Order: sequence, then C-alpha cells, then structure tokens
Amino acid sequence: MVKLQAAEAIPAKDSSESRAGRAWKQFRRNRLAVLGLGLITMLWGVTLLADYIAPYDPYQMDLLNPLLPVGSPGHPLGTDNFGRDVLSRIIWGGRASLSVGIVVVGISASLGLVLGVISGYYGGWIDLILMRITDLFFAFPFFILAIGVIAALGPGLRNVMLVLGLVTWPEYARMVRAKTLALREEPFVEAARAAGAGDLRIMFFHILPNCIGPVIVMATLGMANAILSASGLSFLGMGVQPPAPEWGSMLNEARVYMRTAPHLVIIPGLVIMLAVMGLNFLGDGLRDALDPKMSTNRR
Amino acid sequence: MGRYIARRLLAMIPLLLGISFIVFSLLNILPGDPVSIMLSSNPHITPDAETIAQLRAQYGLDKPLMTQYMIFLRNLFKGDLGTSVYTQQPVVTAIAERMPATIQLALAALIISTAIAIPLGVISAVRHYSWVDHLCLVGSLIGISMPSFWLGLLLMLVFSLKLRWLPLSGMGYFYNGLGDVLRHLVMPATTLGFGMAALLARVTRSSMLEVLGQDFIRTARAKGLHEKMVVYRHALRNAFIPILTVSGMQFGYLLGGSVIIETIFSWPGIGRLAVNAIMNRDLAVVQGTVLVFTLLFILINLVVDILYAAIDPRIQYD
Repeated sequence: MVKLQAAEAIPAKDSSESRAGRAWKQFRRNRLAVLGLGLITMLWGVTLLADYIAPYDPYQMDLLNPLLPVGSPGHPLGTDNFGRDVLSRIIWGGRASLSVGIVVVGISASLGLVLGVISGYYGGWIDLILMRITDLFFAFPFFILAIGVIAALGPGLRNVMLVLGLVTWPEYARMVRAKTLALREEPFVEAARAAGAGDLRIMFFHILPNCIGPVIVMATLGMANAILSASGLSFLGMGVQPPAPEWGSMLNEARVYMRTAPHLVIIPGLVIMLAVMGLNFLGDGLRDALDPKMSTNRR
Repeated sequence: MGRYIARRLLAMIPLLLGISFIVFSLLNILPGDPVSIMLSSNPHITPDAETIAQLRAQYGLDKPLMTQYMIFLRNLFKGDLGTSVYTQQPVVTAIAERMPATIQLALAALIISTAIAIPLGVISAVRHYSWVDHLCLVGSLIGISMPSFWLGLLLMLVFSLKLRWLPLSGMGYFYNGLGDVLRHLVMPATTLGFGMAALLARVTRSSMLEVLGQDFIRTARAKGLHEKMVVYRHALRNAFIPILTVSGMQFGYLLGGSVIIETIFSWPGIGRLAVNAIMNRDLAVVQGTVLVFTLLFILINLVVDILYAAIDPRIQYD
C-alpha cells in the first residue's frame, strides 16, 4: 500500500506548485494575456450580476421611445425598435453568449478527452475506428456541418450548444491521443502499472492530468470560437430566438434599422468582438505559459 | 506522382462513404420527422394521416433505413440530389446555378487575404519584435476575433450608406462591365477574406522566422545577395508549405463564412441557398448544399497536398 502511494505521488507533485508558479510568472509578463483575462473577468462579472446591474428589464418595451440614440437620458446605449433598453439587453444577452462558450467546451473537451485517451492508450482497432471518425469530422467544413445539423434538429440555443459541442470534439481527441501515445511509454506510467493501478486509473489519474496544459489552451481558444460561431448562428436566425436577448440575434434584428440607428449594429458586434478577443488574448498567453512548444507567435 | 494521386483518390472512397452517410442521416436519422417538418413550412395545409403517409411513400421514407441509404447512394451516383420541396427545382440544378457566384466570392476573398497576409507576415518576420511586428500581432488577434457578419455590416454602413461609394448588396455581372463586378465584389470579398488574412499573416510570420534562421539563408547573405532577393526568393519559397497547409484548411472556414456573408450581401451563391433552404425547411436542398460544400473542401485539400510536391521537390510520395 505504501509503495503504491509513493509511485502515484511522483508525477502529481512534479506538475503542481513549481510548474504552475513558473507558468503564472510567464503569463503575467504577457500584457495582452493579462488584458484578455481582465476583459473576460469584467464581462463575466457584469453578466453574472445582470439582476443587479441592468437598469431595465430586457423585455420591457417602450413603444413611445423607439430607436433612441446612444447617450439618451436614462438609456446610455439607446433603445431598439421596440424601445427596449440596449444596455440591459447587452448585459442579459451575455448570459446566452457566454454560457454557450462554457457548455460547448464542456461537451467537446470531455468527449475529446475520454475518446482521445482511450484511443491512444489501447491502440489497435479501437484507435483505428476512433481516428477514422475524427477524420470524417475534419472532412466537413465545421460551420457547414453545424448548420446542416441545426437544420435537421431545429433552431434554438440548446441545439446550437449541442451541435457545436458534438462537432468540435475531434480536435481535443487528436491532441490527447498524441499526448497519450507519448506518455504511455513514460516510466511513471510503468511504475503505476507495477504498483497495481488498473487501466482506468492510469488513463484518468496519470495520463490525463499531464495533458491538462494544452487542453486548457485549446479550451480557451475553443470557447472563443464557440461564442463566435453561436453568435453567427443566432445572426442567421438559427440560434437564440427573439425576443430573448442575445448578441448575435440583436445584430440580426438591427439590420433593418441600420440606416436610422447604426448603434444597434455597432454595439452588439463590438461586445461579441471584445468577448472573443479577450479569450483569444488569454488563450495565446496561456499557450506561451503552459505549452511553449505549441507557441506560434513567440519564438 | 501519378501513383500518389491515385492512392489518395482511392483512400478517399471510405471518407466519401462516411460523408454521404452523415449527410444522409441529416434528413433520415436525426430526430425530427422530415415530412412533418416539410409540412410545417406551409401553414395552409393541415396534414392528415393520409397525406403524411402518401408523402412518406413518395420520398421513400417508409422503407427500411438501409434501403433508403442505398437508394440515396444510387441517386448520388446518378447526380440526383432530390428535388426542392419549395421550388420543385432539382437540387443539382439549383446548386449548379449558384456555384459560379460562390466560387467568384471565395476566390476573390482568397486573393485579398493572401495579398494582405503574406507581405505583412514577411515584414513582421524580417523585423520581428519591432513596432510593425507588434502592430501586426495585435491586428491579427483582432482580425481573428471580429465576427465576420459585424465587419460586413460596418463596411456597408461606411461605404454604402455614409459614403455611397459601393452598392449595398447583390452581385455584379460581366455584361455590365468589369467595374460593375468589382464594385459589387469588393465588400463581401474583403469581409470574407479578413479573418483568413489574420491567421495567414501569423502563420507566414512564424514560418518565415523559422526559415530565416537557417544556414542557407546565411550563405545567401554571405555571398552578397540583395536582402530582397534573400527574403522573397530564398526564404519565402521555403516558408510556403505551412502557409499552403493553413490556406487549405482555412478554405473550409471560408466556405462556412460564405454562408453568413452571402446572406448579408444578398449574394446569389450556395451559402444563401443553404440559409434560405433552412428557413423554408427544404431539407433536400440543405443536404445537397452540405454535401457540395464538403466535397469542395475535400477537393481543395487534396489539391493542396498535391501542390506540396510541386513546391518542394524533397517530398517524395512513392
């Protein structure tokens, strides 16, 4: 029993404090990444506190005051065609957009991690089949497959999250599989096996924790992509349905009023861009900090 | 070379079968009965059990699943993608009519993005860590993060509504002169190419940096070659393979993006056909467009793979 614990403790300890500390130092030096973290924290904060911060009910219409411009008294970001307060709709709309990011990455990362580690660990025909399936997914242009499935399932936020998650897992699976193939031969895996650890234990407690760096990077960038794609789908009318507030569908509704009320187009797009940009900055910084080998922009 | 191409084509057969199965299942396996979806698009019909059964028989939906798939495959081979329930037009005809518009848009976007990205990437690599490089990095991160539909609407706002320089939407035709085509093309193509340019610039930069650090570049400089010659003839050529790979993969995003861009600019291409089909619950057309987009994507990636050999004689395929 004592022996078993010792064998397990080796890889775990190595990956905790010192490495995380070094990564944090590296991360802080990247000003863009810190800016990204700030942006994301701010957007999340505002969205989570929507109940307390939003000045109006996002559904509350005021047909006497439609299309007010930015800076109108009582409506800092103006109102839309139904006289609804744009600021409140932006704040509430963040819930849909940002939760898409989390749910999509949750689905795709967990599917990808499990299937990837199984594929790499067992090899053989399981690996062959799983990898052919990922090939198949990569053969489709991602957005096209997504709208195809939405067409079959019907529009709506829940279907968008499901589809985007199910379409993007192969990236994670590929990466985790490659890592697993390398880690499988490491002495600490052999040690764990010698200590009597079963396949499941080795896969989920020894191999997967060592893949966590690149997974975090991929998940951050994946979240950015998910938000961008979901807002695109909502913009096309396939995601969140009106009157629910969501940034992409707000843009879609605003198209008709572009001539008279350009702020209705400018503001939601700007917010989408800030959310996505924050995650991209963050992901980029995390990549440099956690996974220097994958870095593309600093050599 | 010929043998390599033949082998690649053979390897595509299982992939194409898989793709056809997924496209087939969009209509036939996923939850949601296609017939009731089709009927729901027309509020004037109150579907009774008899109509539904009749429609199911007409579309072969009453047969076992495997039989349906075999019929689907057989029709595919004959170039029959079914008929639009909305316009009664064969899907193949509808797609063929709109194909030139999408290809025109995609090619223009590709040209614009390469024309922006490669010079920028080269400059940031040659003068790395300079202010130009930092500006390019921030610019490309913004470019990647910008929703294409928003960029498109902003361009419309500025160049069509405020400045009135460019037509708001639609496509130009050659019988109205080249100017007409270009004036209609420039905004959608820029919108579509922008995100790709951002990514391409970064790949160009890192690929160039890697090549510029190699010995043969030092040799070229040592023998007194002009710096321009070193950068553009010796380095860029060798940096091209990653650039090409990313361009090929990005083409998928370009096709996906064209769905949104064509909708915004009322561009009469396949993307807009797909969106309209989804709105009209015209599932046969949706299937057809997904299939055609995917085939285009695969074809492009095959061409990219073959181009490697043409660019880099070191790559041997046999």
